[in-house]
Amino acid sequence: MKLHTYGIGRPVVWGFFVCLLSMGAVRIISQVVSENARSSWAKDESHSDLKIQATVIQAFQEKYGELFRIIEHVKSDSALFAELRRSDEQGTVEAFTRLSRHSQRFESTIDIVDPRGTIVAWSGRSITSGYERFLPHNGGDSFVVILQSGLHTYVSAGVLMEKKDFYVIASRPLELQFPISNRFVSRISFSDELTRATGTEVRIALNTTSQIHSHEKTRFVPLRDLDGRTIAYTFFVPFTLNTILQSVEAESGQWTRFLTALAVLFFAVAVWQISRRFPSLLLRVTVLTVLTWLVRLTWRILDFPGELIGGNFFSATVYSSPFYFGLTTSVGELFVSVFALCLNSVAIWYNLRDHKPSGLRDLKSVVAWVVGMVLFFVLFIWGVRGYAEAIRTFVFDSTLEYQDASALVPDVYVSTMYMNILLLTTAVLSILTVALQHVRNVWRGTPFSSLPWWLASTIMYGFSFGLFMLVSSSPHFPLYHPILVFAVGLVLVELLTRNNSAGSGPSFTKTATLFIFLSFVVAMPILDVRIHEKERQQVRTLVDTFLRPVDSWLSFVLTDGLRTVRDQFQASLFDPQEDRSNSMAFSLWARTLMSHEGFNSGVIVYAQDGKELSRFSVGMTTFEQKELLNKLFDGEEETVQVIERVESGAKEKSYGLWSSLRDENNRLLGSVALMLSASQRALFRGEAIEAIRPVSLPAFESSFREVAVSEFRRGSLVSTTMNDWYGSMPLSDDVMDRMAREKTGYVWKTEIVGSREFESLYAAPEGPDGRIMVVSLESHDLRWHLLDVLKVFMIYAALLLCIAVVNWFFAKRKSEVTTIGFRGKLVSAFGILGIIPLFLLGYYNRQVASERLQENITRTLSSDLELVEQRILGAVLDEEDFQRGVNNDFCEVIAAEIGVDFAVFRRSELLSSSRPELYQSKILDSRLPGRAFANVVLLEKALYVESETVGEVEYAVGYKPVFFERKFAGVIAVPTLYRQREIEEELAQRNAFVFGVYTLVFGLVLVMSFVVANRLSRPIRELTKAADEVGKGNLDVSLKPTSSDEVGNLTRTFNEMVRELKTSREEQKRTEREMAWKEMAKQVAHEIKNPLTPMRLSVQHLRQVFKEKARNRESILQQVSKILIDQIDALSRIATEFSRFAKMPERKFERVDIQELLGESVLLFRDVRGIEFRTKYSDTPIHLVADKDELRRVFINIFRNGVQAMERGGVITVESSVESNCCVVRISDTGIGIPHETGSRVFEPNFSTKTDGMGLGLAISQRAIQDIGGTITYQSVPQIGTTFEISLPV
Amino acid sequence: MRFVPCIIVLFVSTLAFGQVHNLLDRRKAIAVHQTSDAATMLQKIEKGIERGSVSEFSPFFSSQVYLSFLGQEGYYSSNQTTSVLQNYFQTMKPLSFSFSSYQDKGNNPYATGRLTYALKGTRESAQVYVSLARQESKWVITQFNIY
Repeated sequence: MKLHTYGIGRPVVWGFFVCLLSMGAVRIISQVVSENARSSWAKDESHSDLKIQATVIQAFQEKYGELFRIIEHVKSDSALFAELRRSDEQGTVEAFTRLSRHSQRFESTIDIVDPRGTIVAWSGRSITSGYERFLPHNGGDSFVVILQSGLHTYVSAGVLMEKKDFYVIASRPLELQFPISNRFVSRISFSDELTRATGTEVRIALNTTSQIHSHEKTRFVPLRDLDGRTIAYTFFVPFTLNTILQSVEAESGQWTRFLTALAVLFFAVAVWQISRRFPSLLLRVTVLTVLTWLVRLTWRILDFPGELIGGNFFSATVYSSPFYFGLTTSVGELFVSVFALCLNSVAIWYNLRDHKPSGLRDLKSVVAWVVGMVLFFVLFIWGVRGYAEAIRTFVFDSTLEYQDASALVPDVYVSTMYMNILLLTTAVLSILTVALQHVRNVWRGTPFSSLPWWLASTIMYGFSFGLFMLVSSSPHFPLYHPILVFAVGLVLVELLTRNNSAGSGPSFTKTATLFIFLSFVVAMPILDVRIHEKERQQVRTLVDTFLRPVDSWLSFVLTDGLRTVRDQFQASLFDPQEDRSNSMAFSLWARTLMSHEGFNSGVIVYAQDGKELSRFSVGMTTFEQKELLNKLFDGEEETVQVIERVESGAKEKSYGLWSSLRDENNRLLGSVALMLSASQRALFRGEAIEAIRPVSLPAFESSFREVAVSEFRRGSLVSTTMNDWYGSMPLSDDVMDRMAREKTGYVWKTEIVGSREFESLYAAPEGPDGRIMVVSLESHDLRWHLLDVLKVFMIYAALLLCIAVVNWFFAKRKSEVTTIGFRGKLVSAFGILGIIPLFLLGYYNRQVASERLQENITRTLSSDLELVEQRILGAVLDEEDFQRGVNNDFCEVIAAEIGVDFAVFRRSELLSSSRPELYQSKILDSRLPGRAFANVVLLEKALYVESETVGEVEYAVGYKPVFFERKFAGVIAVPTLYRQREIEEELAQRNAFVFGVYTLVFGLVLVMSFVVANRLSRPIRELTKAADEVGKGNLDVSLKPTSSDEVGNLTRTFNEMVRELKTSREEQKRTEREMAWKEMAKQVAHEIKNPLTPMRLSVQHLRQVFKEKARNRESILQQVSKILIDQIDALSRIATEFSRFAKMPERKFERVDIQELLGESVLLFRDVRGIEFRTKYSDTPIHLVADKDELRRVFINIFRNGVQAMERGGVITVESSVESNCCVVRISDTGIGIPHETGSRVFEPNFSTKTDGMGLGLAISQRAIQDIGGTITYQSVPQIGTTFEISLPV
Repeated sequence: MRFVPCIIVLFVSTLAFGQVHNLLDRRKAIAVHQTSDAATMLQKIEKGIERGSVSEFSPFFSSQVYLSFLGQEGYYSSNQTTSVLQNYFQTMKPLSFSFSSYQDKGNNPYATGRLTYALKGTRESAQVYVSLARQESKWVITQFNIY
């Protein structure tokens, strides 16, 4: 069976069968591998463990090997050590600077340590205060050690210099030890690296008490230092035969699913290729639709391509919706579904767009058609409701930030969602376009065609809209939306069909541009509305969390925290007697639910004697903690204690719980207290708190707009984070009235605060406590919207560029000429010329804005540092008082008063901070950075600002030395980390201001360039159009010059040229006519003369016979009469032939099956002896519209010529096919052929090589073919034969 | 041209996805309406978790649910929460579950219990915490945590 005869392409067949064969191969391979694993498992089991161990050890060696390479590089910097050995301040500063460069280059901590272990120069995060314990004491000159510091475990390597005066130590984080993963904490995991490398779960720990939970057969590999001492352990779950078999099965299943997905695609393509030959358009389109969704559903069932790509792209946590019957449960699934939908709808549009139905003539059929269209429009509006719901779910069922103004380019997920919106909108518009084009085509044939089609469509649509509103009382979309969709549809149809009357529609790129641009116009307003709705919903959720009584939940969080802490001690992970570091409390806190949930909370660990060993708290003031602890220890063990405090007029609850700590042998180790504040979550206490939260709250932490929270009690303001509101401010009467009237407990109000507009939600809890919470969100202004428009526009422009490039590529492959019109070139040129300076200006402006921002930061840091310094100097008596009195509590009080958080360093080490938790958790470094130390402590610079990095966040820190009586006492540091949010807000505002305005300007530039280009190119386009008309033979064209410039002259010259051409053409026609008449007269005379001569001779002969009264005069009379009649018949025939040439009968056009007609014509010649007819017809019938009799005469004429050319017999071959939308008929004979010298005249009238013909047959045939838009040509080889080729449009 | 409307109707029917959303909303409203007290709702949730059948309690999800699982947490829409939990229970097949601690009185009912599940052939366990809140005089799930 030859598949290509069914229209199936060879690659498709190959692809399908290769997939099937590959599936079989995968199955066989998996069976073989599984059998091998079973048979050799006894032998391989131990090898498997050894292999994992070897991989782990090698990976660890590579880790510290890299550190040794860094050390070698630092050691080679002889200038650094020369400066250090100078032992003067300038030398030390230079050494710090050089060290900093190495540290930044290799992204690692580098410490220079003297032989006693004291750090003399450093750069990067501090790992330990000193290296005494770790330096080799056995005469070795290098070492490797693993250290726990803050949130991370570090691996450090050190090498002694050749002069034995310094150790160079390099360190890098190895593992994040706590379940905290936000942008302030680097998510570094050696365990994950090992898990990926070995294929089994691997965890790293500093002691053997940690194991991978619930796995009994955990094995461990010790990690050893250079001397073979164990410094850490890695635990892994060994492979079992089952896990190996399962992994083989999983792997083969994955491949099989992938190959099945491809096979289904090939199968669908093959069926589609077959369906293209179906005569019924309905059937073709139905098959295409069914195939599209068959492939999509199969892919969903096979989890393709989700299984291949995975990640957040196919995760429900980014987006998930139940619509479309489970085909849209992630961003990726949505994209594939919407792509299929768009492909389907565009294919339908493409198939139906040029279909021209016959008009409706009678009133009854018009009414039936109008009713049908109204019903269709009702269904379409129902579809628009689905579309609006889809956009709603794109926003509401996702965690995406569509309007993140701090980022100029949207991330991949948001960009994909914008693409989804585009595809969905294109699908909707293409459906509408099909319908409107149908109305346009049908309406012209109705008796009411004097009414414009668009008006008829609008009336029907309006009526449908009314019907829909009657049926669906809550339409789920803004009412303007279906109207906007319809209006855009009308514009689209008008633009798409504008040039069709001239026979050429817009190009593919222009069509894509129209669809993309108009989809953008349709989608953006509804998207904007939905985003705004979601913001309001988020505000509502936030208010609900404030109003919700949380006692039970907080009690649970606290008791669960206690359970976690006790588990840690029972598992002997901590021992208060041994571990007295501050980090112990932080380590415990970081593992509790209090930390997970981001509550302001704390943990305090006490020794057996009640002495406090370690404390960590976040967001709770010292006073609050003291008050709670006093009550806590008055109560019973493991009983939740609650205190209520009045803070800024509002009640705040704090919860506490204490318990003794015991090890697994029930030995008393000490006790622990857990504290938790029920006040608002850390989010509203400042940005820094986010640093020690596991993840960010998605609602407003990333918001670039201000969110303010306020509380009213009994009609007056008691607390607020809104800058321009003041204490005791009365609640507005309007809100009070609406609260009383609407009875929902929620009132939205737009209000101007300062110079900004806010949308505020006022909410009252159930019950009569007189409290009203207010959450205010800064409103968007036009600039923000323009920035969003710019971002979406950029994505769609990029897509359009891709389409244009792909189109150009394919056109080039087909050797087609793709051109951009003159107007298009002008618009492009103006657009490019307009956008380049805009981009340059935008880039420059952003640079300037960034620099100004940096300057502002430096200025702010400087004033903050001075403020802190003044407060400290005002409160502290002398240097001794400074060292003792400036503690965390002192800093906290000052920070609360002046609103600036800060830290104080005693030379290089931290003395105190208003945010000690950030230093205790080691999120911020408690060691002064090397360069800051060099500049502020050694050089005593009045202000030093350095950029530092914590996790993924880069921030600036200002340092200032403090002096007492001109004697250095310490360093004040103000990090902007606390203000990161303000900085991002500032950046977002600048983005909106700069790029929002530029978007407006760019839009104006584009519109202006279009207008100007249109104006400039109009004369050229008119000239082109006129030239086309002239080319088609219309010489009555005349253009009106619109200017006196070159283009005006060109127009005038063109008009002159056309006039001359017309005159010349008329002259030529007249000459040709005369010539034709002359030729005709000559020919007629010649033809008439031929019979006249025998007639004259016969009549003369007859006269002579009668004159001589000959006997046989009767028989001669008979002979002459016959001759005369014959010659008169000849004259009559001549007259008929000329008459037929001069005037053809009226044509009767009808649908003709060309092959059937050829068959009928061949039948007429079947009895001709010695002539064989061979036919090669196309497989499918070829229909065209023509005069059947006329076409039959053409074929008969050619057949007769062929028969006459083969006096001794021969073969006539008749072929038919469809080539390039034309029906091609080839008729070949094996006759004597046409001589070269006469070849050029065969289609001329009166030319014939035969003696009995008039020479008009082929001339008449050519005229008949040309009149229906076809061509007739021939090729002839003398004595071989002649082939006539007739090409007719289908 | 009779077939053009037919085709378009056929095709518009594929555009019906948004309507499913409305149907679900209606189903949800009915389910929430039928479950008037917190204790009954918590029992339904318990049974649903035990069977790994999220659809049994998904109608009770608030429009924004605070969800915490496998190190991820945040506010998710009810549809997202349903999908996320369905995926979770597909991977972690529940073996047994019951609430060990109830608080079905007051304005903020909650329940917590230990979930035992099978993961790649091994038994694992996790703590499940569910918290309800009253919204427009109906109980809804506002928090679903799996530690």
